[in-house]
Amino acid sequence: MTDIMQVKGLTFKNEKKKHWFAQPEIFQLGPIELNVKRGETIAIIGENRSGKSLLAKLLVGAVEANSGEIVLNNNVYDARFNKKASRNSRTSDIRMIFQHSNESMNPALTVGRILDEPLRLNTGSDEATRKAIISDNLVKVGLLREHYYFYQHMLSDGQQQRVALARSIMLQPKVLVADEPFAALDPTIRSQTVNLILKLQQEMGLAFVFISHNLGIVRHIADKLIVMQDGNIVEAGKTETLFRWPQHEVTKKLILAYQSLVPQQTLR
Amino acid sequence: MARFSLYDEEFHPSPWQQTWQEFRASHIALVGLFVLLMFIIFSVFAPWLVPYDPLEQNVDGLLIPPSWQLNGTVSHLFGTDALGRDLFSRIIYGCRVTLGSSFILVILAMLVGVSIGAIAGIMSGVRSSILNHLLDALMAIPTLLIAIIIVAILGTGLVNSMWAITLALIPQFIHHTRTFVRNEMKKEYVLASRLDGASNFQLFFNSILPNMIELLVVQGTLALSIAVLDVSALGFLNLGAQPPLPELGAILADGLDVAYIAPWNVALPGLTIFLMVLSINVVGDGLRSALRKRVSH
Repeated sequence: MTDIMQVKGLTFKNEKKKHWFAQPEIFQLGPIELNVKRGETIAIIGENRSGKSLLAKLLVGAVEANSGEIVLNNNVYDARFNKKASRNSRTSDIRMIFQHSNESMNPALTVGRILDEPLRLNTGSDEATRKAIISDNLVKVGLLREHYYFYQHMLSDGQQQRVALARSIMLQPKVLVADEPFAALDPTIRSQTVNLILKLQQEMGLAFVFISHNLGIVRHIADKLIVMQDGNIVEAGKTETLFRWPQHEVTKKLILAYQSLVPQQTLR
Repeated sequence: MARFSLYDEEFHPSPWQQTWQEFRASHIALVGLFVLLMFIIFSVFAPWLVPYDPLEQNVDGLLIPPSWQLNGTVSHLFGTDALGRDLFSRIIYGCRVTLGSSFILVILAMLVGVSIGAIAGIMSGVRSSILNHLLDALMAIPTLLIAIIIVAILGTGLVNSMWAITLALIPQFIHHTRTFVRNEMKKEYVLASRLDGASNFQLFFNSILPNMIELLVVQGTLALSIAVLDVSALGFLNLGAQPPLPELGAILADGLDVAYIAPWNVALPGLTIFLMVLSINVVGDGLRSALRKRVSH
């Protein structure tokens, strides 16, 4: 198994002053080293304000980093410069799913036009081809072709999450980054979405990096686990190893909190 | 692929259909819309609707009273003025001139204001602020005063007064657009489109503009009522449209000379301006509350 994505020395510093006299709030992320293999699932866990979401945004290029390098599918991106040319090829290799799918859908456009956007901007195909691809992908995520004509307010949360998923796999990416994709969903829809992602991952060979507070899901689907604290990776390794023999204090706390909620018999 | 609605028993209206349903629920707004539509039809089809040429003078029929008075005739529905011109034809042409020029200048102000506001909203920092407050000085002076200054420099005329009113209307469009664009830029769907590879220009036209149409409609109706009032006020003061041109304010000013012997020459054009502004405001108000209800549901 080869590395599909390598992150080297990714750092981000927040040095914005809010007031002239106020102490500048310094938050530094990284340097982060991360390797992602093809078809692998990596979970990022950690406390609030530990920089998990920021890391996700840095990976997809939504926020510009201060230094570092991302090797993605044999293309090297300098994480500091977010040039238009490199952004386009990056767009089709790495995609993001947002936490609140209802905020990440434009309320004035139909699902079809939302899904059309990545294709229109990144591929040169004509309208008929694009429409065929869109209805293919709608079926793939378990929606109907008719949802092409629906607006955001007509869809339930679960369906909106599926649309977000369809949007992210539209360009056949290699890596999918998700920021708490299951947080807003009820248990049934959550397991449906998890199964859907696992299925797509098998079909398309996607690497899936996701942030979650739900350690049950993490243990269920993640191959590798990353624990973050104050902008640094404090522990990383195989999920099962980390769950059984946590080394770092934060990991111990998180895992202990999880285990105290789960009846002991169900733990293998 | 045709829309296939076998499972679709619930009716799912698009945002625009939803707005129309909310708008239709208010009877007053609907009546206002009909009155406004009547004025628009009058303005568009004026040459085919008028019984007489609005400029044709008839020495045999000076100051004929309107048809509902005892000595009025049905051939001159609203009577004639001091030069024997048919008032009904003049008012219909007056709607055309007043409403038409107001429409043109509102659209012009909207185009300029929205483009400046959008650029200011997408940019940040001092440059954005400068663009935002570029024309704010105009807001300090009343429209009529600006118009008088411009007319003093360029000379009287309908076109010059239109420039003045356009200039005065631009700042409010800039401010509203900038605030709206700034708020939308923070939302996640814009970030999502940005990650799709959209440039700022594409972002504005494909993602933000479809959401902004409602704001533009509401602001446009407000601006339209201001424009109608200002165009006719300048016409009345003899600074805008010049007398032979049938403009509602100018017709009103003409009628003022004979107000004691022929009061209909003042009452009817005045009533027309009143109805026009009222219907525009009622429609604008209905639209605004319909949009608010749509968002809150």
